[in-house]
Amino acid sequence: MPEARKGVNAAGVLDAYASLLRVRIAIVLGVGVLAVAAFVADLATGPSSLGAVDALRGLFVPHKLDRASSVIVWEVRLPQALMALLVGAALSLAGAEMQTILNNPMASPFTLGMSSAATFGAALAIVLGIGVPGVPETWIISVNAFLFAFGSVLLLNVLSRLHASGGETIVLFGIALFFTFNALVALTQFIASEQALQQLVFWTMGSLTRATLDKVFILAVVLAVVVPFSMLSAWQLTALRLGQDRARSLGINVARLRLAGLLRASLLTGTAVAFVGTIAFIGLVGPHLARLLIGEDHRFFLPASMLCGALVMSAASCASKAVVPGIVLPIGLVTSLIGVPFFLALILGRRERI
Amino acid sequence: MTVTSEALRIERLSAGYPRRRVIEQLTLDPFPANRITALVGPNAAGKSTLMLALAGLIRATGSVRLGGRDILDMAVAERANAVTFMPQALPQGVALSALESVMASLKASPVAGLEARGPRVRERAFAALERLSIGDIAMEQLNRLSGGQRQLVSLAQAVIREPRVLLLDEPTSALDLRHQTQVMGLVRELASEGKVVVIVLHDLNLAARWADHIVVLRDGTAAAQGDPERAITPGMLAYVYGVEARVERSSLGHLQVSVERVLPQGAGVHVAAASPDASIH
Repeated sequence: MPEARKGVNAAGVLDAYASLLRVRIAIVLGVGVLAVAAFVADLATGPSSLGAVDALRGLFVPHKLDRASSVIVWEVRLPQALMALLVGAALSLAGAEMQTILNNPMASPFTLGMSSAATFGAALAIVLGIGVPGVPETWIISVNAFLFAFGSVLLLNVLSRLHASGGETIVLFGIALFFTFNALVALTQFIASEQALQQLVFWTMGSLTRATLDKVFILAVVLAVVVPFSMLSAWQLTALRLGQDRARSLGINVARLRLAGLLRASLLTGTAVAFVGTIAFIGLVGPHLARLLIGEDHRFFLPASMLCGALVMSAASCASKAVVPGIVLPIGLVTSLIGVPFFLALILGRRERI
Repeated sequence: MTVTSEALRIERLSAGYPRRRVIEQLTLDPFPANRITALVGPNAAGKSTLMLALAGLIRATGSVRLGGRDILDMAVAERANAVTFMPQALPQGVALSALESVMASLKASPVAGLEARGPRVRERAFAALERLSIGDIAMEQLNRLSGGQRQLVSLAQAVIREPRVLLLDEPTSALDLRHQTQVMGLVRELASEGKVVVIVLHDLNLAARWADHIVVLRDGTAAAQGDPERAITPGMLAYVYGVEARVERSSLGHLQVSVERVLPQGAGVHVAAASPDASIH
């Protein structure tokens, strides 16, 4: 170029970038520390009279607690607190990937019908007793929920491939699935017995009370399997933010990236929803919070989304115990009630900051 | 820097969309390396379709040879090694800095012969921005940039991959005169490194000023092609654009098109048929 501007110092810009990376790492670690703090608070609180100190002592020195307290810590609080962290991380990672691959900030497991599909699967098990043959009775609801969430994504992908369409059409198909499965859930509610209806409604509210260490372990394994694949796609996902045509021209197989991302999201959502029921807004709020804090370099955006989701979910779990003393509200209600105003505040404040 | 003297040869190319073929059996003179080839023509003439077909973004049949290879037969990643396409605009609402966006375009897939690991990527990305004189906005968020700056960043994303064929879809549409001239100067520099540069332009004066080879498209066919003198004539302008126009040389020796009036529908066809290269005054 004839007139390269003077005064732009390459070393200065590269130093600034290096310090930006350090800030981002610090932010990721900071959110991680907050998530751990929320986890500890979640562990330390509950409707029983077991205090924070005893709960933590019971965790590290189990034999110091009496039998009842030990059960509270190890079979109620710990699985629930861990499940809150992992479900928050899983749904938020799923939401982050979906928002990128579908190029839509409103994409999330909840808004694209995955959660509704899972609910329908659960409803079939609860109301009609329909499930996969050979699956133990205690797992039948979870397995159904998982299979339907996973199936809904496959359906979404087949529909969009048949129409050779891009992200926008997938979102529209997702919304159509959302309403279809909601209608099917309503239909099962209509024919359900009073007892089954009560169980189904409770399931749809989303609750951590069904958490066990077995389920926590399964979700942790799913996360451990999925996260490396997500991180390996980080640069491709970042490049996809520059537009689909550009990404393809850069050598990215966008259709494959999209399918792999949707499958990862369905695996995460299916497993999470199978264990805790419908949890709204975490898949939306986590990625938005991370985007505001850290931008969309997916090497940082994906882990930040997971940690933000874990933090918000753990905080929601604490709140679910604090709103009405002595009673634990279903966490799905709390994430919706807290999530909506929080989300609105984020969106309204966003233009100023980005 | 890859230096090649291979031209891009398009033969019997058909391309379009599921229910609409835009280009049918199109054969063009070779697009030479070391030169700027401009695709011009009215709206819906097939310029963008041809560009997308060359970039491998829509299904196409026929042959597009670069050296001994047909780029239509190449896998996505292999084609991305040879050809880079710059779409008209960057999407809105992307929370990335200019530097990161250029880094991402190199890191998205490996480029043969280019080291794309570690701090070298940052340096290379910054150098690409500097080359367009926008090193000072390297750390700015894309959202905060003006349309013109975004277009320059977009060009840097293409430049960093050092492709043999560079496809640019209206890279100057959002730029003021100064930046237009800067960008076209850079495009000329890139071409002179041995690249085939294909550029869609709406502005005929810009095309006449900068392009070495011009392809005028109308209804998916080549209405004229060759150097600017040969391609841009009053007869062509009447036939393709339906306007009566003068084509004159400026004091600097560049061709200039001055439109005088819009011709009644069909009139241009008769003028062109009588004498495609003649003046219509």
